[in-house]
Amino acid sequence: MIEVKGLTKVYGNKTAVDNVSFKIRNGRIYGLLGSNGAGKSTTMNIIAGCLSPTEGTVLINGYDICTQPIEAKRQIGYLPELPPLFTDMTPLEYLTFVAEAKGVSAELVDRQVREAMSLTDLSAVQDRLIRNLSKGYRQRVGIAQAILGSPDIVILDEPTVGLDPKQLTEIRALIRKLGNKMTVIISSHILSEIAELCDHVIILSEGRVVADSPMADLEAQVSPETELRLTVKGDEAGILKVLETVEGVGKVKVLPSPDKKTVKLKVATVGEADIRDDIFFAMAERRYAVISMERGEHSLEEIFLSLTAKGKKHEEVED
Amino acid sequence: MSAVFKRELRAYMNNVYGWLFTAALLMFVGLMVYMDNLRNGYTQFEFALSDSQYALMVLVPVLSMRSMAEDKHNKTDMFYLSLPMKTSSVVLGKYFALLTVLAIPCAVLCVYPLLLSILGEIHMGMAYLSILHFFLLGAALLAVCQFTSSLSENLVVAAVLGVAASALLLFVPMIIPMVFPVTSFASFLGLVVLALLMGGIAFLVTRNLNVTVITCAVGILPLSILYIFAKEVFAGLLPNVLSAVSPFMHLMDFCDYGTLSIPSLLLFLSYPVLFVFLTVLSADKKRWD
Repeated sequence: MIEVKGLTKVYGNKTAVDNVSFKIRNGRIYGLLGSNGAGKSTTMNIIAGCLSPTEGTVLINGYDICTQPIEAKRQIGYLPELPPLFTDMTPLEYLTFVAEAKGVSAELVDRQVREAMSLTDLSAVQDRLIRNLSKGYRQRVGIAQAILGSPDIVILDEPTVGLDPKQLTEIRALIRKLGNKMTVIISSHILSEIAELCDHVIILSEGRVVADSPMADLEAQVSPETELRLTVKGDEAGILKVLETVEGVGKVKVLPSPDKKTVKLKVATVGEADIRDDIFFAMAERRYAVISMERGEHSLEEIFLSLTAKGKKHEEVED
Repeated sequence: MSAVFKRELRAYMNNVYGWLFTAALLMFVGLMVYMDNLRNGYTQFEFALSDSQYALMVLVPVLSMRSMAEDKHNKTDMFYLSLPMKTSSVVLGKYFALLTVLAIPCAVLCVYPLLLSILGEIHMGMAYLSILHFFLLGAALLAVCQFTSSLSENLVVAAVLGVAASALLLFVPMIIPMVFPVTSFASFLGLVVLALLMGGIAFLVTRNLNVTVITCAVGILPLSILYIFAKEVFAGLLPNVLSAVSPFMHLMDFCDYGTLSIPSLLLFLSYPVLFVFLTVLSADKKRWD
């Protein structure tokens, strides 16, 4: 488990990470989401022990990364944004070196290297120089080095950046495979990627955590206001009057309708209550036929924009 | 540390660096042996080694330029920082790999006195002690140049800084006694400049103004107090201090006059200790930046 408490990193006048706190529990895939410059890489570098925080603590399985760095680093495998590869070596040589450098005992080095290569499908290119490998394969070598030493947690900083669609699919499949064996933290600014891979998401904006929730509950983090799209048979004025009488109806917008007999509406709801039944019966009482009624879910983009905007507003208010 | 050592040694010997260094150093020493021992007929092998220190001044920085700078350039320094390993182990692994590369031509040099003994009388003790001194001088310069390599991510800049530092250590003690006044005040000023230079190194390593000021103050304050109360101590002190701290001067002393002293050996050994420590600070600086 990783416990991040009050993490702050200041570069000169710029606060890259501002009082960030979260917990990473075992056995899940976590996504660290944020736009460029949100503080994802800085946070990951601090967790991995590559940077020291200005303030705050990071406990990895109970070990403090600042005061017990060796023990803490044994618990994690890290792939920085640029895979740290020695391109004059072959994957086999490189991974053997990494295993030795991570302190894997001599009798286990060969086995662990073979396992890592097998998991990342590197066996076919194990004797080619890394400099001659494609970006996708280099990324696999980077991931393989991260999982050496049997860490409980693997941290992957933007592991799919710069890959072509085929490589992207392969690396995502590999991350899913890793997620079955260990805790994985990936950072990305690609929303769909986080949605596809992660069980839990932490959204950073301007160095602050603006959301920390399971992927499924993310929508609840934004305004509870939902949106209904209605097509009702009848006159516009009458229908709007009926809507005014229904409790929980917010803004109503009339949309262009293909025929004159029906009215298309976008209705914002206030509060979390589901008012579809109320609308239906209110319309039925006045003999207005509800042809269709759909509940519009927030898209991931809307959620992200809403949360990051909230984070910015919060900052402005504090300023 | 052994993993880093093996990786670095492999990188030097699977690359042009290690072999080029070995070939160039052996070629230069061979040329000096030809000039001093074969053409001029000197029986002292150590003269050839004394003249070969100029080669070390250039070749050592070229060999060690990649030691730290290449990791910065390729971002593999992040990898080392993320390892469950102390930075000192990484730096020492790299330093020992450099020492091993230096040991290869020095081992070959051990054959030279034997070959020369076929042609005439050679003082074997002096010859082999001079090879040891030559190796220790190389080891001291490797530590200095590994440190300069940690100051830049550009290999050429790292090499130039290394050559500049080596040249300072070689030429300044030679030139200063010839051009510098022997007055107390001149020596005092010169030593203050040295203290400021140390402060500059502290700034390069830590980027911390407080550390820089403290380093300068630790040098300048005692000097000033000593100058006020015992001015006469400073007469001619700067050239003596520079000669005493220059590893080149100690090799020359040994080769030219046969002076073997424990302080000399201690000085040779103190260079790696000091500069490996500075390199560790410099490498760790990224974590604190």
